[in-house]
Amino acid sequence: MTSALPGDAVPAGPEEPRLRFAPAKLAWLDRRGSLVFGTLGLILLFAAWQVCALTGIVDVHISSEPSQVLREEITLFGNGTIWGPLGNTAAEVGWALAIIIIGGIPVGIILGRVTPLRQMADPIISILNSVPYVLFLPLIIFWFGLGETARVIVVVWAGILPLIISTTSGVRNINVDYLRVGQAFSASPLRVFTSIVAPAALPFILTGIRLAVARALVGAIVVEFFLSSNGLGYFVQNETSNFQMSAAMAGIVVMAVAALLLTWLIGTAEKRVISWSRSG
Amino acid sequence: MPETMNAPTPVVDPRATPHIEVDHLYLGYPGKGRSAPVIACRDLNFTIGRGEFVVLVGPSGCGKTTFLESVAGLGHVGAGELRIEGKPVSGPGRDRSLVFQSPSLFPWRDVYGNVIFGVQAQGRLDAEARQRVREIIEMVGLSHVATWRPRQLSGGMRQRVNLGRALVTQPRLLLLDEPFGALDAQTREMLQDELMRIWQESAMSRSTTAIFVTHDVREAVLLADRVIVFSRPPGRVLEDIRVDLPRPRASVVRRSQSFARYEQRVLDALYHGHQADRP
Repeated sequence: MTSALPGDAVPAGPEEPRLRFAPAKLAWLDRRGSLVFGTLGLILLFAAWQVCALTGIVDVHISSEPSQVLREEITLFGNGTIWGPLGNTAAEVGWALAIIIIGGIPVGIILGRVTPLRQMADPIISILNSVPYVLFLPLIIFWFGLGETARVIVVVWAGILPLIISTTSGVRNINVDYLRVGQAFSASPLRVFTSIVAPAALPFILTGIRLAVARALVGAIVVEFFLSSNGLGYFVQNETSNFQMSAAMAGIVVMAVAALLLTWLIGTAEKRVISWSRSG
Repeated sequence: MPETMNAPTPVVDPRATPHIEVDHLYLGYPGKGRSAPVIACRDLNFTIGRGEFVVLVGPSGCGKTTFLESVAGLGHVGAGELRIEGKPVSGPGRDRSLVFQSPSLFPWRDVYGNVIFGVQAQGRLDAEARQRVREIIEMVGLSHVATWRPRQLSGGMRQRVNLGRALVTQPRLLLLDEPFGALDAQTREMLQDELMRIWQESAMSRSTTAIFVTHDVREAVLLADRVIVFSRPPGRVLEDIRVDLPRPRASVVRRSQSFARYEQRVLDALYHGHQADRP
């Protein structure tokens, strides 16, 4: 057994004295800072809103106020009115995200690996990505009707492109040294793919999924504004046109919480899976 | 007469059968666009015996890395013949392992995972291979950090993982491309000693051939059974020097007189090569 050589870092053993590499004094703030101050920011925003409503700077009938929104929230969840629209939107987004992930990642990987295919697809993807998909909405309605199918298609359309683009660039930007290692050890193409290409592209794929989720949520709401009689988007629109501002705001808050949760979930996955890619 | 499993092995000096034959070999790269191809090595002729530790030295750009890569099966052969165990090289093979100049470790795998990649890639992962991975991690002195990720390791440690990954496939031919080139002088000397120890202690030195590329003359003399001196680009062989320093060698051999003489011989060869190239 060779012991560690000088110049090499060594993990501290039990024989060492208690090492005082004091974490910063407010260590918990370092770790929880974004949560603590993020919450504080939201509280300040709601407080300001409430103050404005109470002092009459804004008209409560038009803008509602946090206390009423909270009351409305309790009613909506209490009598279960919100579950219908929420479930509807969730189903839509869920199906669409499943299709986006199952379809988008392989397409991105193939485009990243097969140059002629990518060259063929590049202009198409640029066009689809830069022309607002909302423009195609009437066509999609014409082709697929007003049903669930049309709505899922729009959401997929809205979300899949960032994932494809991000995955493709992840696969293309693999450090050639990694591929040479595979080649030198005569790894099979399958092995190169599973052991090198996939893990190396993973950070890009997760970034793509994060972008896709954000876009898909927008897509879901847009599509509900246009061609739906249920879902959160429809709920908010409907309540607004009935001048039920508190209910509309309550719907928006539900959407915001759902979006935050999804983003947080993906962010956590990103941190877990790709701890290696930071300051690599 | 059919061969049987327990036929007595013929008594042949293994060093007498050439492991690698280099025959009027030209190496290079295709030119960009319509420009002429680039020649890296010109008319190389030599053989390398089984079990030899051969070090190629030469100025940077002399094509020594290109030669190593062509032996690894990564291309570059323009003309002539390059044979391993009598067969022309047509691609990478399981009999060879390459230790890269930059460690090229996978950042998403820990030390153990990186070392095991070699056998995994070759589809030879069994209990015995796993055991060997542990032994080799021990041998290169990294047992205490086997679960660390590359970004937590120092440059010297990364290079030892790189070496371990190559050793674990039990190559008959070990190719090392300036593996210590980017390290500081002290770490480099330690790793030279380490490699020398591994080479001499393990059974490798009898069954494995090594080609080591460097531009460090002292490193060359320390490690080599034979130093092949390359000229300035395009590389050709200036001199082929047998280093008869006794083995096992220890670190202190660097301070012996004969070491200094070999060092001078290599330096002279390099120097005269440069002189001869002058118009």
